Amino acid sequence: MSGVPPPSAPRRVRPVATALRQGLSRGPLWIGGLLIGFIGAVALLSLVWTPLPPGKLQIVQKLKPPLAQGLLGTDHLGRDVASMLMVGAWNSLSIAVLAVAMGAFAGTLLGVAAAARRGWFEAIAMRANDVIFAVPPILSAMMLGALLGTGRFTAIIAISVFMVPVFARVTASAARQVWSRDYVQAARGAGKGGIRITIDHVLPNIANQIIVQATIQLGLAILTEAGLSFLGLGMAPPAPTWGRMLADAQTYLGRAPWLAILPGLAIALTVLGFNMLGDGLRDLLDPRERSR
Amino acid sequence: MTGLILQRILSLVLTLLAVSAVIFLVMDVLPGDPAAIMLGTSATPETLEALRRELGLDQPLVLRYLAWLGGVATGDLGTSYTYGVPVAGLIAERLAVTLPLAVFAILLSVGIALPLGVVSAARRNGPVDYAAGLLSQMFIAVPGFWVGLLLVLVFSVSLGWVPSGGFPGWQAGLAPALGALVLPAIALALPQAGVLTRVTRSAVIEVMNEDFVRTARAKGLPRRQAQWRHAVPNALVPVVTILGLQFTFLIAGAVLVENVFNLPGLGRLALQALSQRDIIVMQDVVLFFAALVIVMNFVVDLSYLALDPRLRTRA
Amino acid sequence: MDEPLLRIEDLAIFIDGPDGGRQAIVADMALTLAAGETLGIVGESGSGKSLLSLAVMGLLPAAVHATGRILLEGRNLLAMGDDALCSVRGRRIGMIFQEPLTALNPAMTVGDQIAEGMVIQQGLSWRAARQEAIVLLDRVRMPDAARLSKTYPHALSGGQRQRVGIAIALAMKPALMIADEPTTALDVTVQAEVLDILDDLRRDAGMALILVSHDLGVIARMCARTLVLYAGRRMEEGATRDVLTKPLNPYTRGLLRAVPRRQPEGGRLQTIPGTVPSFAARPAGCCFSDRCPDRIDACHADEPPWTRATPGRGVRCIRAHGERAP
Repeated sequence: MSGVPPPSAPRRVRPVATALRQGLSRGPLWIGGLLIGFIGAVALLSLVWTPLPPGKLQIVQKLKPPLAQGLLGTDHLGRDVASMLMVGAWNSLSIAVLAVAMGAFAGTLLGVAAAARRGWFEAIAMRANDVIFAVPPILSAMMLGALLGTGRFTAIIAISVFMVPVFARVTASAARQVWSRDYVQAARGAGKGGIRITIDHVLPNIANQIIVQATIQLGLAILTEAGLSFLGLGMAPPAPTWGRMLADAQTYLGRAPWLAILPGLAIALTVLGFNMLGDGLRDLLDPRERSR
Repeated sequence: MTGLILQRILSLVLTLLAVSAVIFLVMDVLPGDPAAIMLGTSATPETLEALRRELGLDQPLVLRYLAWLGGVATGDLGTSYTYGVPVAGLIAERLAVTLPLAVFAILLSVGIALPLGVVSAARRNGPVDYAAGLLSQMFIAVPGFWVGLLLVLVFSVSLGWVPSGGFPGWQAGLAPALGALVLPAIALALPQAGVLTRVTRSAVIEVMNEDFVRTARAKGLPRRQAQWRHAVPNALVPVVTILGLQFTFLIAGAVLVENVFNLPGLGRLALQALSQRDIIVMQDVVLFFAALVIVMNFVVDLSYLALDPRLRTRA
Repeated sequence: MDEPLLRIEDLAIFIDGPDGGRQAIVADMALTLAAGETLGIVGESGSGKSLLSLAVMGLLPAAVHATGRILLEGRNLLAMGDDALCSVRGRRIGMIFQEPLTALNPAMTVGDQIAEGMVIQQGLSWRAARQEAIVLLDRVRMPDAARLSKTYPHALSGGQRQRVGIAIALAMKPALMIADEPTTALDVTVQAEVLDILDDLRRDAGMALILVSHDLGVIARMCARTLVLYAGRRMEEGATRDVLTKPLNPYTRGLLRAVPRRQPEGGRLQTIPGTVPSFAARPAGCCFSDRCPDRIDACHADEPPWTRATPGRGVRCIRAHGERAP
């Protein structure tokens, strides 16, 4: 009646379930990485090769469904959809990457400066963020577009300006945490200046969070760029963009539904790829911030 | 408590002033003469001069800003150059479409996200949770305007159940008007619902581990009641926070979705103003949208007081 | 023979390991409690006493499982589904928790938190239940009960919050009250009053009480019988007076020596050297053998069985009989 029960457990969690759970926890990283790797490779390939020149008009072959003409069919001007999607990938990715890089650079600068200076500088910088955040990039692109004309440059500026507060908030709060650590306070006590401490201690410690944030924001930038070019606020025609392909497809919804489906799928998969890659990187690099 | 609200109102006014100044400055500092842009190719030196005087462009910057601000404060937003009517009236007319659309979309996204997030949290790491996680990832990744296109493709082009767009106006009756907003609201709501589901799930999971949920169970409350009566109300603060932050994206989405469905809303107005170079309308609409975002965040701040009694007695 | 109010037999509590295995935290647990009886469960933190009380409530965390039998009025709680357990919780067994701050919902008035169980379980109207809540607050000696019932927990002091906790547990007049360290988180001055309230109400209602505490003083004051736990094992059980004055187990003696008391010569407070072993790192044989001052070689050989010395008195120690240390 007494004694310790046998150490061997009566019920064990099946190893299959454990493997599945581990697989699922690393899944986002793999799926996201593969998606982005594939789309990135296609975008780069489009610089040197596409099945047909994306601008080549073949009116007689217009509105052909996938596989009837080319891999993915043709649009209302007889252009090859597959080629346009490939070049569209390059246009989308290059705008998104440039915009996020610029926004991340300026935002990080603002964020670490706010954390280093505190006081009124921080208050003003953070209030400025609220101001920028209140004007979504679609609207600022309209404002800029009205005066400067629409195009790639306007789109990049509009998106990157909106990225600044996003990165400033993330880096400021992360940098404040680093600043509160004992060894940083010790370095400060030893007479190290704010810029030195920021370079030596703060930036290396928050780099991972910036990378994770940049990955996730790339998804948002892709969505925004697609929206801008859908409204005609993105790259000027005839450059093919996913957003304008969708805008053109609206007229032919009944006759050529693939024109409305394919570019949207390309956008969704790219955004999904960046989001999953970002989630996976967060779990890998920044376990404290783990969301689940 | 009143002190806290006063402080928030002050901050709201300051942010609004800053936004108006930035918008005004950007429109002014950027190269490009509004009068020349508005007149386009028909400009002659005389008409240019006349229009500049009419727009007050011959005045110094600060005076023009103050005049604009004074107008905004008294409800006089200027006169549209292309329509020749007061901008305030234009905005009010278009708001009657955009505001119901936004409210509809918010209600829809909360209606989807709250149950989905709570169920995910309750069945954590189960099949339902993974399915909901996958669904919300998809919702976040799809552009709202594309969802709109697909909805039109399915429900009006293929099935012919609803018209593919347009708005009959509220005078046509509540049912037809709301009916015209159903598909656009769904398109606008899905991406929001994806974000909200994830936030709800993690907030509820966090609260479910709190002692007071156990106390509720110790009273004999079934798991589901303990969740909805105790865990969910205490998980709402982060959910409402994200709802407020997402409002910017909701506005941006509304501009796009209005375009897909041909809805005569504020977003279309801004786009028309852009193509017609009607800079006064542009400026006012952008300010109005920004004000909407800022006021929404103020409302979110106030809602914390309702959601968390601890904040009411502080300050 | 009369069925006791609560009878626990062969209870073991396991936790799921990360590798899919299971570890026993509590083993070979048994106790009986008659209606109206009071039992103190004493042990250091890590002895499994909180899990034991949660197991009775059927509120073990998801990764923790219990085997054996917990019979309440003859019905095995461990074999019941959650629906059936919901009608036991609150109505037959009430529970008071350790942390009065975190145990109350910050977003609900205390009156509603007391009334809630009566509305949902007993079908009272909210109006009637809120009235009843005020009566209950009055009974736990809350000043200005009607007004305070409409306030939120953050506005109350620690002692007041714990009175609310007692009122919640008391609301449906359960036959058994489980109090898990009810005064540990409170100021010393408030502790006595809260215990006093608890004792009064228990007597009035004729409730049975299981009081879980690391504090022998609290147990001595409140409970007729005492059960000593160590590392998930029963070490000694008996009438509180016997356990405290004539301890059979060296562990109980160690606990008693560690109780602070006024000592004329200002002698040093004794402690038991070492700490409670984690359930994964138990010594071979008796679980106390690595810290026990009276150990002999045989202590490391086998886990000693639970033995009954006299009726109502039990001990787990091979040296408890005859070979008593001086």
